[in-house]
Amino acid sequence: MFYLSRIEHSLRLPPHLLSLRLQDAVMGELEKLFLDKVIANLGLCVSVYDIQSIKDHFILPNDGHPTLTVVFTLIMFRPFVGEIITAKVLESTADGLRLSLGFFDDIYIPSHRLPTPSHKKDNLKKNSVMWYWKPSDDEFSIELKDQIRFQVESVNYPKIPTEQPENSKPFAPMEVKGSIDFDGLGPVHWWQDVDEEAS
Amino acid sequence: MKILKADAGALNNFEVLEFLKSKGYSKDDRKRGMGRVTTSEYKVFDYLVDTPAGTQTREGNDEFKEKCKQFDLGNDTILNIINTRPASVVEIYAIVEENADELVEMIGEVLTPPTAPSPKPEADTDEIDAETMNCGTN
Repeated sequence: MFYLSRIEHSLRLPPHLLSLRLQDAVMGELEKLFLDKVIANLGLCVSVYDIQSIKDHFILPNDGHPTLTVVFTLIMFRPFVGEIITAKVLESTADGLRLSLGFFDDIYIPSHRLPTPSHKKDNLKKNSVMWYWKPSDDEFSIELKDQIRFQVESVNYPKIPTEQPENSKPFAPMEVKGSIDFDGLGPVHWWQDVDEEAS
Repeated sequence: MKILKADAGALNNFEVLEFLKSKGYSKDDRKRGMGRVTTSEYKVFDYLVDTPAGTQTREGNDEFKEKCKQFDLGNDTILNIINTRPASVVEIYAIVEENADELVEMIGEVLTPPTAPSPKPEADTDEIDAETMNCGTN
C-alpha cells in the first residue's frame, strides 16, 4: 500500500525562509510542493520521509533566491494489483460503487465486479441506487458508509484532458479500480456473521 | 523533478503510522493544530489508526515475518496479511489459498488482535469508542 520513492528536485528557496534552519526551510517547501499530490506512476504523496542531501547552492543571474538540488524520500500511496484494502462506501450508483479511504476518494467498483448475482433497487435520491447480493434466498445489502474489503484490479493515471466534456465527472489524476466478486470480499459485516454462525 | 528510484522499499501500515506518530500526530483532538502537522497527513493518520495497524507492535510484526518464511510467501503477500490481519479463513482466502488454516492460527498467536469491537458500521458505537479512547489518554 505504501512505498518509499527517492526523488531529486532543484528547489527554489524563497528568501524569506533564509532565516530558518536550512533543513526546516527545505522540508517546509517540499511539503508544500508534494504533499497530497499525485505523481504519475508513483502514486499519491502521503508524507516526506527524509531528506538525503542538499547541495549545489547557487543563485542564477537576476534571481533573488538560491536554487538547491535536493535528494529526498517520499512516502507514496500506491496500491498494488491484487492487494486487499478496506474502504468506506462513498457513492452507490447504477454504474457501481465509489469508495473512500479518507485521504483518497477515487476508488471505483464497476457494477460487473460486484458479487454475482447482484441486483439494484432505485433509491429515493436522484442518481443513487442500492445494491443487493442474493446468493440464496437471503438478500445482503451494500449501504452507504459500509466498510468494504475490496481487491485492487488496476491503478490508472489518466492524462490531463485538454478539453473537458460536459457533465463528466471531475478529473482525477489517479484512479483505482477494484473488485469485490470473491469470497471474503464485500462489506466487512457480511463475513463476520458467517464466522459467528460457524463457530 | 527527477525520479531516482521509484521503489526504494515498501512500508506496511504500522510503519507509516509509527512515522506519523513520531512527527507528533495523535488521536487527541486538543493537540491537533499544534506543531508541524498538515491536514492531508491527518487524514492518513485517521484512516490508519482505525485499521489493525493501530494496535500492532513492531516485535509482533517482525516475529510474524520470520515465521512466514516456512510458507514461501511473497513480500507483498506478507505485507498484505499484516495490513489486513485476517481473523478467519474466509478473510484470508482472497490473499492466499494455500495453508490458510495454519496462517490464520499463526496470525491469532503472533499479531495483536484489534482491541476495538467488531467494526460494524453503526455510527453510535463508533462515537462511544472514540470518547472512551480520549478519556484513556487524558
